[in-house]
Amino acid sequence: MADSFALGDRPVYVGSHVTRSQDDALLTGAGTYVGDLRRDGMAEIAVVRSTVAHGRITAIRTDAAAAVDGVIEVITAADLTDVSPYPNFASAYTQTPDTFPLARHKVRYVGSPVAVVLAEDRYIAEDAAELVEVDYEELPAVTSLEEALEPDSPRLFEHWPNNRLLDLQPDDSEVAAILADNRVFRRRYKMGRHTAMPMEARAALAERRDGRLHLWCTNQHAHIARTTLSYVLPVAERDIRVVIPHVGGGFGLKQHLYPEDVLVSWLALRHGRAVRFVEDRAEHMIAAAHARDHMMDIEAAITDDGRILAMRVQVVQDLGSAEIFPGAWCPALTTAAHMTGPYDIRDCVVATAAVTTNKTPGGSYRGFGVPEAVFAVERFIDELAAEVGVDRIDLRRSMLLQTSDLPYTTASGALLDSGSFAESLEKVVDLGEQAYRRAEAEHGTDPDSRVGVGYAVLFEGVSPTHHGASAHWAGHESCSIEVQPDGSVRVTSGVTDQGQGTTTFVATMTADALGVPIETVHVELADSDATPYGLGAFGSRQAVVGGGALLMAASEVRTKIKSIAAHMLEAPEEDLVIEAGRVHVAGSPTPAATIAEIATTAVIRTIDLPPGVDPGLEATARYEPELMEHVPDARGRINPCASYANAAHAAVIRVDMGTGEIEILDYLLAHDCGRVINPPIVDGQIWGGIAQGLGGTLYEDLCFNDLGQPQTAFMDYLVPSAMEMPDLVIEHFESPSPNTPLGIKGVGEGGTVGPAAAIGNALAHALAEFDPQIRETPLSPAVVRAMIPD
Amino acid sequence: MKPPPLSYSRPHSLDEALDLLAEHGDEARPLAGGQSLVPMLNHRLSRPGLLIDIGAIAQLQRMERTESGWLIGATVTQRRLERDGTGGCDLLRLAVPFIGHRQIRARGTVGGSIAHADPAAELPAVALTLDATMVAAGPDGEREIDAASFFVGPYMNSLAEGELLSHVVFGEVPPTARCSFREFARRKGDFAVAGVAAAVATDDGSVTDARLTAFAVGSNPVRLSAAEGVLAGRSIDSALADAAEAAAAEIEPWDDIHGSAQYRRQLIATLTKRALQDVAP
Amino acid sequence: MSAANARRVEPSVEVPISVTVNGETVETTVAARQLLADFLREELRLTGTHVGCEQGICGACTINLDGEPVRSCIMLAAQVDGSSIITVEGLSAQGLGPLQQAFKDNHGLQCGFCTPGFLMTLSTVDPDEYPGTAGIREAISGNLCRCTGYGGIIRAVRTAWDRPDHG
Ligand SMILES: Cc1cc2nc3c(=O)[nH]c(=O)nc-3n(C[C@H](O)[C@H](O)[C@H](O)COP(=O)(O)OP(=O)(O)OC[C@H]3O[C@@H](n4cnc5c(N)ncnc54)[C@H](O)[C@@H]3O)c2cc1C
Ligand code: FES
Ligand code: FES
Repeated sequence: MADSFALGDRPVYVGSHVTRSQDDALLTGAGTYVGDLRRDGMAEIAVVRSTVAHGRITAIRTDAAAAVDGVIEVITAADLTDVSPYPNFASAYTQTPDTFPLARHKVRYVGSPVAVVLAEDRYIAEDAAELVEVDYEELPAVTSLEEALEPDSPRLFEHWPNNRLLDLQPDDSEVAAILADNRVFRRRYKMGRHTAMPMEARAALAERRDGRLHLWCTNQHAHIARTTLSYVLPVAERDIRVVIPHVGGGFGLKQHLYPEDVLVSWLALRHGRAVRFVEDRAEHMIAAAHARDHMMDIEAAITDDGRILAMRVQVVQDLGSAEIFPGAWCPALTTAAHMTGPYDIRDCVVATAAVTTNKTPGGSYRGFGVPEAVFAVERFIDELAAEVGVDRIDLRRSMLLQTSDLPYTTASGALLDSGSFAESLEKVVDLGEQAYRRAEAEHGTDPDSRVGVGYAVLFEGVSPTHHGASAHWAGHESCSIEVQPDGSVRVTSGVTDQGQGTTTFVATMTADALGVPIETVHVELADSDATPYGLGAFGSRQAVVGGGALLMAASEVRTKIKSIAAHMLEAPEEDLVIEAGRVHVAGSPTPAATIAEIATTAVIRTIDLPPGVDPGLEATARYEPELMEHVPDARGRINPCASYANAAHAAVIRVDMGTGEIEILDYLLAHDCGRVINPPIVDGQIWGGIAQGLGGTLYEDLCFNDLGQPQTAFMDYLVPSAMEMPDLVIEHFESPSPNTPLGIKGVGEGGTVGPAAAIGNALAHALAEFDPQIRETPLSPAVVRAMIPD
Repeated sequence: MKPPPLSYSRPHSLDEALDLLAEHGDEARPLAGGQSLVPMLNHRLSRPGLLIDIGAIAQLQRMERTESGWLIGATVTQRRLERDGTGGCDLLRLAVPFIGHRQIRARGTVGGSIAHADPAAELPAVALTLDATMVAAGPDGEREIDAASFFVGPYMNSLAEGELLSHVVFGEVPPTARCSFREFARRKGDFAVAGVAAAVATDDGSVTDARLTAFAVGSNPVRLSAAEGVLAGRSIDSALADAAEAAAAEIEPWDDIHGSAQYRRQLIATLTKRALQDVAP
Repeated sequence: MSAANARRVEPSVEVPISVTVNGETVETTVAARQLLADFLREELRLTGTHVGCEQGICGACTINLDGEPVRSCIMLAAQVDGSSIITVEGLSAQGLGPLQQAFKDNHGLQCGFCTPGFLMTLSTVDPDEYPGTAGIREAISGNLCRCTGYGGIIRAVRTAWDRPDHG
């Protein structure tokens, strides 16, 4: 990597536990989440939502609602005459849904926004919303991906020939030939529908100020939101400001610019008053993005000892109605890119389809297609080992990529440039077997218990292209650093903070890269008026891409600091070091020039600048990882990410034979995200990720009946509590990437992707005597109990 | 999720409350801890014109031992039982921690839980097991209703219009009886997917008095009379499997997203077996 | 009994209340249907009490009501007449109290949305009623956190409650 990514002369913060600056506010109730904001004269909305899964709207009657005392206006799609549909940036392999902030003519899921009541407060708005009457001519609902694939299934978008929004069928003749010549093993896996469920639901507050639109919202990217609003609303982008204050967790769900964000903006501009939307949890269950809901069919040509020679895979994702922006077909592509696992499988071809159904639109969620792939691949390997009669770990060992194989391009196109696949597996096998023996000793004689251990080893793309989801944006990030005359530093960047510690890493890296005390660094993010254009939070990208831009900007500032200091200290530039806010010759702390003196020279006493040095002490940089690809080739291959982290998971479980409940006795993982910036924050990401992964594996399930009516209320959506979450043992490996700034790989998703596979394999091990078929999640107690004979 | 328009009143005596009930008829609803009622208001599943907050009525907050058993006033909170004890009523002591979370128990009341008659609730199951007497206060004074006839369907009780539940008297079990409360819930604090309450007395190894109740597996908690019959006169150990099988057979469970009827039968068999193991001498 | 109390028997849609919030007496009139969480957030502007579900499940809205942890989203403001409430804003007179500091030092929060609820539960319950790490898990089981997986929170409580790192 280029010098421009160096961390400064005497880094002291990167790699240590820097506490977070926002915590004092958050711990005293002084946080400002969107729902905490109020404005004088503010009005609130309630959304009237479709009660049918699929139907044509034949009439909407709003009179009774509009007559309620305190109601300002009731609007439907017909009122939005100056609003454009969400943009559709078609790619070669997608069809485009017709997405509008309020349903036009047709509804395609229960929860779809149909009308909006604007009222003095939310209580009144809800009273009136109940009085809006909508008539539907109901249409047959498509409620599963199997149904959606049927050639004669009802179509959600009538101008399409089928329900396949995405259909990528690469030429598989080479792999077909290998399959024809060898023993073949086939399995089908499914991952259920669950979602991010951040503790703060969505919220937005819009206001017209000085003739411009100001929107405070919970979105994960200020600039993408701003640009999208300019596409949809008749407002120039220059006249839109998007601010993201404290956010109560995003996890991908808040990546989308939802209809309500547009609606409050439109209403605020129209009425000249602030308009707020605070989503309630009942709405959130049906109107905020769902995720996962994948099916993976694997066929592998194998040797007699189980090694995989070639794979043919079909991935199908159930997108729900797909009325969401940016689109959500990308997880299926990500799944496809991970279908080889970290194994040396030379031939793999993946056909990918994403289909529309009459369910809540699928969107992004932490892991983004990877948990699905890992579950399928790692269960497949365990089943394959059992089929051919070899040890499941030995089978993995025989195929796993060794450090000496790297860099390695997988058959799906991912460029694995570094990693610790074999080491991490050996580590968790060692720990896992010990833990399993303890479990055996404790529960082995209990007739009501079975214990098992399961493993999963995986790689995981980090810092992906945005192109897969939007067919528009790509992968860059930005950063501006400005040293003030008093030596304090202001940093702005396009990255955003939903609680994952972004602000802290920006401060940490800036302080080290400039050699200044961290207290002197002020970070400003997520205000599109104040920050350079960037893509914000998704895919564990921010430390990699945002960090890259930051280091580039810092490097420029550092160079200038040294050239001014060299002049002041009359010493050669290359002999100077910057540390603790002072510049001096290496080895002799005095004489020194302070950053404040240098900045004063650069900005105020510019007459003292050395010849040829321009005034000012600031830089803006943009970084786009070079090796990241944005569009798959004809065989469906793509290297969609800037880098790849890796991990191995082990779960030791006890199955209650009477209830089918899985108790996690030990959960162990070895994790490698390259260089670590802040160890507690990395651990916190892993803990949180595992909790979400376990939730989706054991507890969380978004069910629909065959009319497309949602069946899972929040009460039944079982977000794990501290009683369900096990203790974790985390081992760290650090294999820095040669292709990212500082060798950093993202950590945001690492925990989430492994639990389904590790638990599934542990369950198969525990119940081996019954030959259970563990090919779907969630593994609820009822599902597990059904595997056990009475 | 905001409550619909309503008015509110907070009487300080039972008479005032009964007057208000009489005056406003089925427009009015008593509000106790609100831990079931307010969520229902927020979901707009309930639309009372008037809430009569019974939280300030001292007469409903008694807790004392009487001749017929342990008397608990309707608005005694679940937390108070946990904190101040259950007067030697073991089954109640075992059951209370299963009710929601600490924060719910802090407000939720004994009377509210019983009047609400949630099929998956713990206290109705305890009441049925202990042959509790529900005492209703109405315009014409008090009326006793036995537990078996109090619960008349999911979320339905046999209080007449104009009546309030005043207190509950939990009956005694034989001095040698041992109690167990077993519940299976998806997460700590969730409503039960299935549960069993047991109070069984034995003499010299054989069962002399068996009370078993299953809950969350039908419209209301049910006494497992077939299983109780299986146990009579036998040792718990020898009757364990038969009782579990009888229990699973006699319930009428339903399917929902947490499990099929068949799964609930399996759970009841398991929980019955475990509860009986708990109480075996 | 407050002066407001006497008038309460007559049903009304506007209810006078007198309540102590973080040590200060508030005498006001609330809409009969107003949720306590909304009263604290919208009328008193104490927005540290968060609303995550409005059905009593997530715990984000937990406050200290007369010494007990209580969900403010499933209580009416009208019901708190004569009571004393502490919210997260009233937890420490100045800066961070020991529990809050322990959360900061142990990375016990990420987005911070759930945090006031955890703090209010923990500051209200008696640690002796919740022994060991299992006790800590039980004590916080009525508060959901989607970010931390509870690891940092449990460490923070151990520190604040001065418990060894095992057991
Ligand atoms: C998240 C959560 C989890 C919960 N988990 C459980 C659980 O696991 N097990 C469980 O049993 N409960 C659970 N509950 C419910 C809780 O126990 C309630 O407290 C209880 O069901 C009702 O008691 P309440 O005092 O809150 O009654 P309210 O909510 O005030 O009233 C409930 C109903 O009973 C009526 N009512 C109340 N008192 C009387 C009376 N004296 N006379 C006549 N009618 C009356 C009301 O009009 C209303 O219809 C949970 C609640 C929540 C929010
Ligand atoms: S907001 Fe009150 S418990 Fe969730
Ligand atoms: S810190 Fe985000 S929900 Fe707990």
